Amino acid sequence: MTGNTSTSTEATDASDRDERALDVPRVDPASVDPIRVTGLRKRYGTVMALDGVDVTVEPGTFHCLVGPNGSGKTTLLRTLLGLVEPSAGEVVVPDVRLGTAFQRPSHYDQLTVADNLEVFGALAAVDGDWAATVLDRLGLDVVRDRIAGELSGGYSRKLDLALALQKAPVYLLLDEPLGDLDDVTKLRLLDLLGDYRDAGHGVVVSTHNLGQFADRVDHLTVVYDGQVLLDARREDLDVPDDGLQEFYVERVLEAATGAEE
Amino acid sequence: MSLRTILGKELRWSRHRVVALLFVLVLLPAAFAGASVFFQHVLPKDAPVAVVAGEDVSEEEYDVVAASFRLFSKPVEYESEAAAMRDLERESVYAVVSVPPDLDDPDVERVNMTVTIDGDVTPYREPSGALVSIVARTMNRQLDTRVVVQREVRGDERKLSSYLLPTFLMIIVLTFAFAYLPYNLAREEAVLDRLRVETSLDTVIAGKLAFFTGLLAVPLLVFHGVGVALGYDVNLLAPGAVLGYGLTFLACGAIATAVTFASGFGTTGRLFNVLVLFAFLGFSGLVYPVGFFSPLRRDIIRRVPTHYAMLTVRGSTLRDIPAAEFATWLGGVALFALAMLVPLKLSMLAYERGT
Repeated sequence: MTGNTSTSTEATDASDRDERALDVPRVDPASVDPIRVTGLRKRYGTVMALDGVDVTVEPGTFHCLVGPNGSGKTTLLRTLLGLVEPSAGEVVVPDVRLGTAFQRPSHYDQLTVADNLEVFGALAAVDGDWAATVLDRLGLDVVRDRIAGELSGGYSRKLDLALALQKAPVYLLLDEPLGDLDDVTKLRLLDLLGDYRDAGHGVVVSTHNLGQFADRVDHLTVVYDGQVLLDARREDLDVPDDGLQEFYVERVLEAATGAEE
Repeated sequence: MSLRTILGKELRWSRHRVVALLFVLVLLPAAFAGASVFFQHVLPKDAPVAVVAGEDVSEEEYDVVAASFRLFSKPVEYESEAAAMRDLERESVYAVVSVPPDLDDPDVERVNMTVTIDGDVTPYREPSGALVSIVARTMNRQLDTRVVVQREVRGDERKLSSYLLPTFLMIIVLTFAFAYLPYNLAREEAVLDRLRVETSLDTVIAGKLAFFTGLLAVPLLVFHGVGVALGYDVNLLAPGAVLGYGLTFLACGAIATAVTFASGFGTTGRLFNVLVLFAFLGFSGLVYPVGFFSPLRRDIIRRVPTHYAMLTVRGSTLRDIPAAEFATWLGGVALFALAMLVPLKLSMLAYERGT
């Protein structure tokens, strides 16, 4: 799963942010194909979870999939991961490393944090030094010998994020990654995700709370009732960061009102 | 008042768990009640007995002997004693009798007839004593010639405790497959999504089945050690036994895993696995000779692959018969294990599509 990516740990920049970013193995966005979703439909029995979704995720961007509960975000994310088979349409994901954190904890409950990191690290052949950096930056090293099933909700979430991040995946696909996290860790994680983006990785975040990502997002896709309500680059939206959440909510309310009429 | 509320909650809960409750309260009891028809006799009435008709034996003489056995067994005609003895070792028959010549010759006053049983099949030893008495009485009532029926025990008379050692290990293997393996899998359900991204469900399940099959080496060694310590003449490390246990676990583990996936890791799947476990325990002929309880049960047992795994294990551990002698049966159990991979794969595909 290495595909057409290239990585390097060379460091040249001096600013604080760039120093952190240098820790992240670099990806040349020009050498990585985007994730392309065309006319995607997914039906569960009589329920149409996704209905004609078109989305493109570029490497080197922070892409937010936002929508209310039950809008189809998670189904879309799971389709990108190959966990959900489309009923119709096309999903093209390049053959590169994918890292993910699900809404529900997804790790071995009966192993320690360190065991989990080792097992999944071995499956993805991760760089040990980078894995240690991730552990440190997420503040997870203090619980590395604890049984994962005994962790608090916040640490459990951190472990899942660490499992995704230690791979230095070309595309990171995260479902509600900030849930259960304390404010300090949220900030650390947002910085880390920003560093990934800056290092050329594609970051896809599914959330119903856009406000937390407003100052990071490069591309916004609003999903409502299984359809894409809005798909735009951040620079094309004439909305300030602190108004982005309200902007999205208004779009959803308009759609809901329109549907009722 | 609060009790009423709590009872109301239980009612609401039962409405949501109606499938599991129907399984536990209707299907399971019905299956157990229905299974009682397979247990009809205290003494074996339909255990197959080889009746060898030599060249100098008339059809009438064969019929007299076969008829005398029919009351408490199922006579099966053999043309050679060697073939009958071979099947005695393989528990295809539980006794061998050669029809004596001159049985209906009025000039012969006394005829000896020997019923041979295997000393290793402990549960049949005492019933065979009763069988011999009944056969002798029946024949002497029908014939003018006096017939003396003797019972001959082939090999040492094995104690029940020693006989049961390989059986108990088979019970452990079946329980491990139908109870512990699904429990272990269910504990890891949450991590399956991540594993599907990092590798594949096929690899995960193949790894789990291979690991748990390997783990069986531990109880195998423990049983062997206990057997040696207690002075039993049982070689649980015989290749035939190792293969028999291993293939049984693979087949049953595949069934249990298929049920677990097909039920979406639900309670119904766990209960169904328990039911299948009971079915294998009841219909593999683990302890008693087939035909001990009813002809229907005998016919079912003869169609259950784990029965042949048990016979192979007993032949290898109690009688030191080489594994090659059981190649056909072991091959059959291996084919059964392979066949069970089909429902396993289908249930995994359904699970992957469903999630």
